[in-house]
Amino acid sequence: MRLGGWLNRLAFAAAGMLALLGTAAQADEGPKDAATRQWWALTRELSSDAMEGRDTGSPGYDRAAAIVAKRFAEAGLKAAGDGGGWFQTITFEDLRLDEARSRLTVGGQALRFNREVQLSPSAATPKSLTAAATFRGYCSQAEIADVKGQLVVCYGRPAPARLKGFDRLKALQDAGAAGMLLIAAPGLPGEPIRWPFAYSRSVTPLEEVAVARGGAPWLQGVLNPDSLARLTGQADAILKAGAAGADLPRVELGKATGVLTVNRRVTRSANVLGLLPGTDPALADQAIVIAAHLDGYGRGEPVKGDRIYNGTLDDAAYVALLARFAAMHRGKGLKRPVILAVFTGEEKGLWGSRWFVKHPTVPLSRIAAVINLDQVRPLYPLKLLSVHGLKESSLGDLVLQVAKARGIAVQEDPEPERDLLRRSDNWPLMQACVPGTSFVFATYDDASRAKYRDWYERRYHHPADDLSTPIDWQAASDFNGFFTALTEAAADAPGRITWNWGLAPHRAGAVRFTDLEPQYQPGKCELAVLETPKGQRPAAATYLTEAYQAAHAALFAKGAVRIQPKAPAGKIGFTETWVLPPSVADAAIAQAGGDPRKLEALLGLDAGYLGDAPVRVDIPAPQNYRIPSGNEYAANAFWRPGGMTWEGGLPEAVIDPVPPEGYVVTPVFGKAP
Amino acid sequence: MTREVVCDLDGVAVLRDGSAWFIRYDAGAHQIAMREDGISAEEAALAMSGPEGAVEVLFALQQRLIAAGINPYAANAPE
Repeated sequence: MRLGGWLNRLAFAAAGMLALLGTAAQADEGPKDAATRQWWALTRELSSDAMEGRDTGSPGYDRAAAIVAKRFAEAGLKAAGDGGGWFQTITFEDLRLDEARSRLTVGGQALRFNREVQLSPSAATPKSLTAAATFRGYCSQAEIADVKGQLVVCYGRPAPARLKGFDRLKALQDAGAAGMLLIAAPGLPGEPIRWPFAYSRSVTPLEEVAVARGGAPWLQGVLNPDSLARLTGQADAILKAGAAGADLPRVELGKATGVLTVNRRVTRSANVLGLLPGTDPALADQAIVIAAHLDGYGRGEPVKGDRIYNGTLDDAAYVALLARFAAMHRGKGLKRPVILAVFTGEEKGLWGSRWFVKHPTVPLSRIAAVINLDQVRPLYPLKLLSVHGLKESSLGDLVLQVAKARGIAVQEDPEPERDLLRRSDNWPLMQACVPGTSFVFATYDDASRAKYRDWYERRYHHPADDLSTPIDWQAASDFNGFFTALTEAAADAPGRITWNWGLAPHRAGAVRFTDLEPQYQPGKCELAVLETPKGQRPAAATYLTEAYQAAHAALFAKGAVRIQPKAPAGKIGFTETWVLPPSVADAAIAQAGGDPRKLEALLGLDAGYLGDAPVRVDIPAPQNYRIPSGNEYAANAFWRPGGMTWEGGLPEAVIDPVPPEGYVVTPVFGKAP
Repeated sequence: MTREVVCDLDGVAVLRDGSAWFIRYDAGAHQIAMREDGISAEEAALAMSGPEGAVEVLFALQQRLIAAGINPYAANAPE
């Protein structure tokens, strides 16, 4: 039987039965207004113990999905799943460590699964392991030069200031390590240590499994920081030093031995997709996706006797909010279509949203924006929202307008090192060039910080993320109203939602000398190019419009210029050289008024770089002009697609190396070079 | 011992100091930023094979420097 059909039939029977389970009295007075009461009633239903934590591929998840589909149907939405149904079903490979038939010891000490160590089973998990175990601090390249064949324990996260951009996993595999155990999540100020997770399990769409297979045996997992003391005898010192980003010691941990049994099964789980049709036919190709994830952690290690990870705020409450949005708009469509996307597999790797992007039931070219809701946390008054994706697109402008009208202050993500923008279902859509945003309640005083920290330590991904959570009902109501207003504003906005080029503000006060701004081909965007590793980035011609490319090239039709501290000694450039248009050089030099420091500021060069007698190197006939692809070896972290300097916004290009006979040197300010 | 230029590719040079190998290059885009960084003997051979090999060495070098917390685009050597 097709899962979607089974879910459709179950929906109507389950909803009536489960409504009875949602009537337990709240410890506090509960929501005061009707809309919030209705929202919370559905939240109760979706996160009750009867749903068993809504694990991906579990009967509890399917029951919850059926309830959501029923609510969507009652609200008059159109089904937007596979084959005209509500569901988009994904077939998963589910790998689970058989704890009863597995063991792992380090230094002669057995580690308890899901208490002291959590392993991530995969096709590469070795059936047996015998290796030296070693703690190598942050596992930077200098610390792991000699780890071939060893099980390496690393401090949980690279200290951002020390190891920027370091791909530790790949480096360890390249070094021939037998595996990696990370000490669980220490060291980030907003992300305190938490343990245990639900259990050792990996869920991957079958379609992806074939891609992932192959390679040498590899053991990967997370180590409880509490068990560090047993293994090293210096846990406190390590955790303290790691949190401060200080040097960490190397500690040999003895021999690691293991027998690891992984059970495999094939399971299915479904996204639930509904459509609120738009009212303006001219905007039918600009749908707004509002999203939340229905899956949770299911049943896992008990905490205080409770083994159901209900996932009330993460994320049942926000699936419930989507359903409430649908009910509120029954028969009252907005100008643009609104797709209500309830994703599965978010906790297992954003699988539901990734699947939707790979197999869209509505063409991605007809989706204008995504607004994602994930563990928003109304635990204290809503005064300040942290907004992910605030500056990346004009959706951020709408967020600012709607929040301001409701007296809510807005800030960019204050903890970019946690990478929250990439950790929820907005991200796969954004990678596919759909502008997106998501939110969390920001803290602003000691009381809010204490409530946030308590929730994070005791409830987030724990059984206590349940109906006992002390909700601030006014804050919940305020956020729900904000979300509804934002979705309405996005769906009714007069203009198309567009990406902001530069993906961030340009330097304050920058003089650009041109109005030219990069224009992208349909379905292409700056973010997707920037996410591509250097060396693999596409040519600019594959993503910029022809008109933009022509306008950019026209700036260099009369030559190219470099501004340097002194005349070149010979050929300029190795495989290429970076240049500005003559018109920009002319304008900047004129505006600098003879002051090299002003010229440096106008061109975005380091203060003092040009010295006292800079020269202008004119290249009248540049060879092989092109918009930089970002694969040039000198393309640094300030490179942005589109042939504009960042943060200055000046047109730039690369050309072939220039021989001495190909350039003319003159003093910038009339002084001899 | 001093670093001796073993191969000058007209923009990138490979240097040797005893058994140690280095690569000298302009790491800057609009701004000149001369660098000298240590490389392996195998990388030196690859860099000396021509511009394509040299750029391959520079890419790998940049990744190593970033991993070590060093800005690979900032000058560390005189012009």
